[in-house]
Amino acid sequence: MFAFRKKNKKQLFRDLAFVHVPFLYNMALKYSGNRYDAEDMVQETMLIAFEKFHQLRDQDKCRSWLFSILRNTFFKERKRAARAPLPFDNDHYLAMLDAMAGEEEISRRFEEKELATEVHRALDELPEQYRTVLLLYYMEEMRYREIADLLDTPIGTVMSRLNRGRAHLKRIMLEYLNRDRNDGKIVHLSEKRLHRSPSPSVQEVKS
Amino acid sequence: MKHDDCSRFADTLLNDNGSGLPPECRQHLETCEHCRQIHALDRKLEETLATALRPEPVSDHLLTMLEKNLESDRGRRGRIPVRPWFLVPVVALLGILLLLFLLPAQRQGLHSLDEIGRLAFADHHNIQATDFIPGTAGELSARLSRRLGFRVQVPAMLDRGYHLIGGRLCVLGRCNVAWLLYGHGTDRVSLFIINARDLTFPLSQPRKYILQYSANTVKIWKENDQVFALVD
Repeated sequence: MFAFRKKNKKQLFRDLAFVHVPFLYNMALKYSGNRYDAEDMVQETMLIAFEKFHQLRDQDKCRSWLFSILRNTFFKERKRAARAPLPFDNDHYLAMLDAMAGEEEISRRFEEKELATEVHRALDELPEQYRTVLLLYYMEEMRYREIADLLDTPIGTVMSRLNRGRAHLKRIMLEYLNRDRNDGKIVHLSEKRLHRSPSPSVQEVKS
Repeated sequence: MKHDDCSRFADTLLNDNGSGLPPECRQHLETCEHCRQIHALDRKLEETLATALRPEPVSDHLLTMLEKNLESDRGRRGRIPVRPWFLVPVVALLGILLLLFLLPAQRQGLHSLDEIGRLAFADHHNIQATDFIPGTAGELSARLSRRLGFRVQVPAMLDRGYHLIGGRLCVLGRCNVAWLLYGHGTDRVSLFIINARDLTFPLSQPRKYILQYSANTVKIWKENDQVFALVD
């Protein structure tokens, strides 16, 4: 009888959990930054999940449940960092857009630069709460409501985090695109100067 | 060229998720070259983000490992999984077994002289509220032996000046015993006859043990298979 139950449990777990492996793997990949760690994280998550499978009350929430295990596994030692607030820089981003829009040079650089690497680097530096929302939105193409349900977070919080995180990433990308063509230094544009003139101008150079 | 109302559409333009802009905003874009360029650049960044964060396929290696882990039912770090639902019947079963082994001894046994003495003394104080079946020693012996399942020999005690008033069954602790009432003038004496097998402690024969409770004494002794407790 126990063997039968065990077999049934395995089959049920396989049916419910394995379908979410690609999602877990990609989230783990973005969190950890490499495939080996991501595979370890997924294996660890699935082992914990199988052990605690009896705790899953609502089968429809299996994905959310698995994801919470993955996050707990990975972020339990980084909770303080995860709670760090992100300065709201939507205005800064808008100012940069305003300054750089229409520049042919910028459009050309989109093709030249390895932007994906820069995106990942910027993503790694984001606090977890913003990173997770961004990943769910862009990678999993989830809607606000779905993200809110998955993270058990108010939809307003999701929208706020997404806006801030997105503006932050795009600002980093613009700064990267605007990197000084001669010596490879990143150019930071002053907001005040940008508001005065729509053309990009170099204000300060940080090495 | 920038228009005065460009700022009105800034947020809408930046939150365009590709599902379409409001008509008012679209109309503004048609007339505003600058906003069109901002929107285009933002969309380009948006596409780049989406491309950079595109999901990757899961390797066959990982799927194989997961399947293998599940099949081997490997516990994490070799730990034996403890599940509360599994513990409940196990603990209940152990509890039942413990009761089965321990309770019979608790129920049927008399464990000390003091226990016998205290119980006999307490019962003796209730003789006024207790009915006794009258009869001779022979009649009561036969009746009580039949009811108790062991041979009860009711002593006459005439040699000590007592006459038999009656007898009945009673329970000392959790043991069924015979309770006989004797009289000597206005004095009343209780004699409890206990099956020697109900004692869980050794009792030497023919020693007599005398216990004192207030003004009463309880004498306890053993004769063959019977143990007597006399309260006077």
